[in-house]
Formats: sequence, C-alpha cells, structure tokens
Amino acid sequence: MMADVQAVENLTLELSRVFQAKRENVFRAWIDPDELKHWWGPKGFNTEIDTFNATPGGAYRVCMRAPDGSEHWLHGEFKEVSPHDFLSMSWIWEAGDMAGHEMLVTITFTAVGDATEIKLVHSNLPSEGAVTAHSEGWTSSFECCDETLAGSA
Amino acid sequence: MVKYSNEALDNVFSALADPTRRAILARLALGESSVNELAEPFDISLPAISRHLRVLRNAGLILRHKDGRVRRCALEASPLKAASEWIETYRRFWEDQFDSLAEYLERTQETSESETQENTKEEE
Repeated sequence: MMADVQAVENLTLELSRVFQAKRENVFRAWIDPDELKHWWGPKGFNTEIDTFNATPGGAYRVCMRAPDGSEHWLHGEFKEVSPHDFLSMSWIWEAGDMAGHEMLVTITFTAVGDATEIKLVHSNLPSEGAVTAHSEGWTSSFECCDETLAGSA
Repeated sequence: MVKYSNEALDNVFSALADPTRRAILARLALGESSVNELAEPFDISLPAISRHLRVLRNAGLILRHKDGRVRRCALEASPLKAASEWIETYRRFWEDQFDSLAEYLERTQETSESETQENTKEEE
C-alpha cells in the first residue's frame, strides 16, 4: 500500500538487476546499435533502429514492432554517456497519450566481481494533465485484468 | 480496454502530493477509523483535517459512513491502484527488457568464450 503511494507520488520507477557479464560488455550492449537491436524490445517484438548516436547530445529513434504489427516509435537524446558506468537519455513516445512528454531514463553500471549490476531509473513519468492510464498503444501489449478499476474514472 | 479520465487521475495525484494526506491514507490502510482518531496524531485542527479528508474523498480515495453518531472513514484503494498500475506497466516493460538483455549477454558470452578457449585456458 505505502509502496504504491510513494511510487505514485514520485512518478519515478527504480529497478535493478545483476547481469552475469563484464561491465564493458553490458555497457556496450546499450550503446552499440548492432548489439542493441539483438535484445531491445519485449519478447516477440521486433526492433527497428532509425537513428542511434550514443554520444552526449546524440539522438536516437527506435521502433518496437509488436507481434500484432503495431509500431511504437520512441526517440530522445543521450544526455550523458560515461563509459562504462553511466548513461542517461530523454525518452519520448511519438504516439499515444504520452506523445511528446519528455521522460528521463538513467542507467548506472556497477561491477560486482565479474558480474554487473544495472540500476535503472525512469523518471518524470507523465502526471497531472498528461496521464490517461492504460490507453491504447504499446501499453496494451502488457495489459490484462484491469476490470476492477473501471468504476473509478 | 479500460480508460481513465484525466481528471480522475489528476485528483489522485494532487491528493497524494501532501504529506498529511499520505499519512492519513497510511493510517487507513491499517483499517477504518473515525475522524477524531484520524486527527489525533496530527498537530492540526479538526477543520483542517476535514479539508484534507474532503480532498481525499474527491479523489475517490476514502469512503465515509456513519456508525451511530460517529463518522468513520475507510480507504478506497482502487483509484490509487489505477495510478500505480500505470507505473507498474513501465516496470513490466523494463523487467521484460532486462530478461532480453540477460539472454542476449548469455548467448554472446558463450560465443566469445568458445572463441578464446583455444588460446587461453579459462578459469572455473
């Protein structure tokens, strides 16, 4: 309950995971488009990379194509690229209710022995005025079971 | 697909933007309580508490009912759930991404290890 309250209030999502790979390799998987295209996008999605310039101020534009063929374009700018420990970029959906709203994603890479811990923060999630939760678009690809909320709108 | 109105979520977000109101919700998460009981831990007047309760009620976060002469409040979590589920959608997205990345790293790791095995003896 309180976790919900805090997450909603901060409009920030934080998560971390340890990957069994060296930090240089993990970092490279995020900034090299030839590597990124092999893993980016949820399972079953295809990734198309239109622009990808992982340098400070560099732009990126990628598309995640859902199994049903729908396209979800995303673009932004790399703010900080600090090999092999930090990355930050703006994050803007091109369509849907969140279109044009600039969010921020930061990724910290920490070596843990031969493994690497990633800490990802997705912040500035759209709030007042910008939010229509669970609308059409890519979110529907992850959706289920929201019937209980229908009465609250 | 369920659609929430902007206004409804705006109300939830503004209701949560205040520490006193968050504390009230935290208290109600433990069980319903009377208005007087709710006011007790706070160093503010009863009318001030009432104002906070009104904001929470407008956001649909609490329900009020009469128990004899006592007015009691109960938490109504579903609007909060709507907002936090929306954040949850991003969590699922990134968890998915991490899964894909872990698989990719495992695949490429195996490849590079078998390539280097001829020259270097890998440690355990």
